[in-house]
Amino acid sequence: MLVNLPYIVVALLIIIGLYAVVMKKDIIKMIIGIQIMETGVNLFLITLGYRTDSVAPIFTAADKDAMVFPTVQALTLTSIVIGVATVALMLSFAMLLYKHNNSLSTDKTRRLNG
Amino acid sequence: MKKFAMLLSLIIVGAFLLQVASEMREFGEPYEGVGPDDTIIKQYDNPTGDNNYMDEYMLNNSQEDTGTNNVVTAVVFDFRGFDTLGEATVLFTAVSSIYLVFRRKMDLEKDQKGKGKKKLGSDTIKEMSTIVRTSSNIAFPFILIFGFYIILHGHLTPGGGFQGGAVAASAIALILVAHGWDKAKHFFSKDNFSIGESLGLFFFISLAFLGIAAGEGFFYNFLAHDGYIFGNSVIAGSTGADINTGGTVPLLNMAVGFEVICAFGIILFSMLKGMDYLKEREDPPNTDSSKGGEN
Repeated sequence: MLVNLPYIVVALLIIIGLYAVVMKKDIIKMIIGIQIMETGVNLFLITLGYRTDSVAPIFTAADKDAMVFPTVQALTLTSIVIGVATVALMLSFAMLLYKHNNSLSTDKTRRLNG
Repeated sequence: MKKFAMLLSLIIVGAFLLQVASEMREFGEPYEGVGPDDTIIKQYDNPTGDNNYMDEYMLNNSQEDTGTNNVVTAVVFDFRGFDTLGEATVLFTAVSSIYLVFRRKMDLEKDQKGKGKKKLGSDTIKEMSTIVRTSSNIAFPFILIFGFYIILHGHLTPGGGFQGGAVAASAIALILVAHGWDKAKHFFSKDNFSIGESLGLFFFISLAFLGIAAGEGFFYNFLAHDGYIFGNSVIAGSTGADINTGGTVPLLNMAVGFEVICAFGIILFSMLKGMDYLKEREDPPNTDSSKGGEN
């Protein structure tokens, strides 16, 4: 049970993010929830590639003994960059919503006729 | 009632996630392949010597195939170059949308006000004190050099174009915060950043097409092991750092790093300008949106 602690942390992070996205009314809080979910996904990818007693997959002055898997780390890098770009775009739209509706609540933004 | 249903579905989904998480295979022991008679084949004691598994192939052959010591960079820029092309395109598209959104709205407002000579941005980001400005002047070149070091050594040590670009862009943010909007506008311009971002992506795709021109495929590493530009061969296994290796991987790193610096600059300047745009709320840009807010 305790060996699987990283996977349980991943599940908890995704649940917290889902809670914020589903239950909260504030758009900034929903964006924070999306970011927490993305952190959980990144942690899951890194966890999948880890092996006990192994080093980072870089050959510069390393002992070629056992290395963690590199593909999941490359995927995590992709995920982080896309996350930065998308969260910047989401925050820009939140700024425009605030300008037009004078509020960040999802109750006030039902009609998007602006 | 709706809230209760949402909470209930959230609890059900969470229970499933936790149950799956507790039944995953053990942490630290990834799948490593099963041999002919149910023997577990570990990495590096592969008895047959064939590379059946993707990660195993990349770890064993990245130095011969790409001349790159950092296997993660080899995966990002060589083995899975198409993936990185999509990633760079997503970054480019998102940043272009941010540029477009704020630019169009603010130009509309300026047209309606007529002689609107007021500069957006100068109210939000003001000049800070002398101590802050002096220390940011001292720190600026070191941060920039560290970012370029990470970009340039991406094929040898942890790092690469994306990470180093983010570090170098933080130097731009430092100048912007310490010296204020008006002085930072003298050094950096949003339009120049836009041109630079397009140029970075253009060089990235051009290098990929040069692989076809060299007679191989898209994203082929045609410079590795040829002895000229970044063309030294590396010995398999643990080696020292030789910057003249890697083939096209360092060049792709530079293109991506340039793109990321300019993209982050556009994000900074656009969103800070938009902050000032948010403050002027007594005069909405068009009447439709204000009517929509009332309804």
